Amino acid sequence: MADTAEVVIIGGGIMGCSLAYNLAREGLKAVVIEKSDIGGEASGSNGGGVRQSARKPEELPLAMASIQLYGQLHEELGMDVEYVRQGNLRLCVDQGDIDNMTQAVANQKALGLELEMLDAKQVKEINPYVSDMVIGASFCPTDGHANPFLATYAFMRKAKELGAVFRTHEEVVDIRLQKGRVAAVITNKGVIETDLVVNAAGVAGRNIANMVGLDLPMRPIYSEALITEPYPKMFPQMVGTAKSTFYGRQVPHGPFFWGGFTGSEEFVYRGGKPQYYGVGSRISQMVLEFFPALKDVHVIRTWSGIIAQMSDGIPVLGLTDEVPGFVFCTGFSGHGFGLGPIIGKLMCELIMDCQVSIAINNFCFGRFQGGSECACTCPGDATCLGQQFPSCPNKRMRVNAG
Amino acid sequence: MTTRYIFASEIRQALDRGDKELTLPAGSRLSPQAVDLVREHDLRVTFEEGPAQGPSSTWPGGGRNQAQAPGQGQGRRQAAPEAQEPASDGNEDPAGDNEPVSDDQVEAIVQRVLARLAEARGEEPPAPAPAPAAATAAPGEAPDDDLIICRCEEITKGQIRQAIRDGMATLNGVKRVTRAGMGLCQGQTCARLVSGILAQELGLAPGEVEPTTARAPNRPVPMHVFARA
Repeated sequence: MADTAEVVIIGGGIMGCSLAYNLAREGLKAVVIEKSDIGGEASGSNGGGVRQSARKPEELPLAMASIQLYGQLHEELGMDVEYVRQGNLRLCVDQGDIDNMTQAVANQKALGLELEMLDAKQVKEINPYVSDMVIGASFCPTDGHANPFLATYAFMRKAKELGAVFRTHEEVVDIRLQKGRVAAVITNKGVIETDLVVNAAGVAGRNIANMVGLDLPMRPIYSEALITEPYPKMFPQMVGTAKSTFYGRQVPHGPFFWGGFTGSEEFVYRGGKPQYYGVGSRISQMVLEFFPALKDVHVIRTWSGIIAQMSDGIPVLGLTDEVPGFVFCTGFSGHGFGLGPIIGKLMCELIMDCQVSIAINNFCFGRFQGGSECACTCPGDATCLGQQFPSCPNKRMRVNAG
Repeated sequence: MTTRYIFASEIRQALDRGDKELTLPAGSRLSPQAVDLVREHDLRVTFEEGPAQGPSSTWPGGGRNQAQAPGQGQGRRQAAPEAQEPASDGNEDPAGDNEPVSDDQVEAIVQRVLARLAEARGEEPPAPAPAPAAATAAPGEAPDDDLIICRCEEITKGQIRQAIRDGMATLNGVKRVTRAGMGLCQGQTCARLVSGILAQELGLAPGEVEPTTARAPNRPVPMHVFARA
């Protein structure tokens, strides 16, 4: 049985669902293939940070646009995604931290982000629960957090309502090329003929790229998180440390979420993959040093997730000349959730118009081949901004969604 | 009482009317965009007095005014009276306040419990419980949709069914979107019930439903103890 689809999106995480929603709004009904449930991998295990601060400069314009979209999500999707925009504190404990953060704040301010350095007293005013070892922090008031499960779910529900098709518990096993172009996606349940495939498979993105003969410098990183029982409201900001050892937040209905990697974990290389023991304990230790008031809160669950870490820490987005019809949207390196809404919008623009409103040429696949200068000639390239591509083979027909 | 959400559009309407003050129902939650608008235009927002709660459903402005000292909740989830749906079809609380309980009310409760027990075992409801709602229920709705399955998080059977109809086909999937099994007991009570619903909805044998991924710790552990592990 061969189905046909105008676009097949591989991966039903925040990226796949957000893209499916944006395409469906333009009248293009994508088929999303997900090997487990929607949001089954990283979108179902991340910390839900929606931040702009401490992003790489390439990602900052995307993050700043994404914050705007998060503000509208509830209204747009008809579902509360528990988005809280109350700022992000990055706590400093020594002079080295202060110097680093002061430099980072200056750099990001120069790029147009609104944030500031606070001294210990100002930090206590914003968050009275930090311990005395905190001597300062950077504070970005427009950062925040949201519920990643619900955001993914909300995108999926709305996309489905608009006509997108979600095929869960179905795994892509191969992508068939014809004369070098994408021709069909083969899953364990059937064949879907299509000439456009989006690789939004997160950590499986490398396998998917391998299917068309491309490879990505991506490796999985195992990360762990824990959650506590609900507690009365204490602080609404996202918090982290200048050394990026842990990060966390209080979820709107009460529990504390803490995740991270403190560097003092026991490491064992066993069965072909790295294993870390006691990550949850080390995070707890670290959290109690910063927030001693939490010592009696009960930890109720720990879990782990896999990060699709790119060699340069930024995602791969856009088209490639090597395989026409293959679109990259993967490798978010552990900070993709906050970008979800904007990536969906931009990738939709790329597919519908071959022209994006925010340049994504820094994320081209070509950066791994062309040396220092991006050799990419795909229409997502900033050099193509403002130009029309009437004959672009990847351009889709706009259908009136009505 | 359900939370009322205040969106930016509503604030914009108020601004268009030229309002300088807004009075919102108790327990309203403002969307971040709405908060931005309120700040930008310096609107005064007051909350109506609620019966048992203040405007606690909104995140406090700076997080410091209303932050409660830790320990005040004794680590337990605080009772959330508003989370209970308004009672209907004979579900009013007969033990409430000082009202004496009539025999009829007791009989009604016994019948309802029996019917639900029977259903949980997969039997037909006993004859004395005619379950009139079943005949009139809209398609896709079941008379026991308001039955609480996950006690820790107060998740109803209807919410779980909805998640399954939206495509979730595993316990993990249902857990993520509904929170059933994410509470203090970590699904020790409800995992079997949720698998039952999954099996029923998807036409599987109960044994075919995969259990949730096992998560440490087995029971709640205070953070200072966990930190020494």
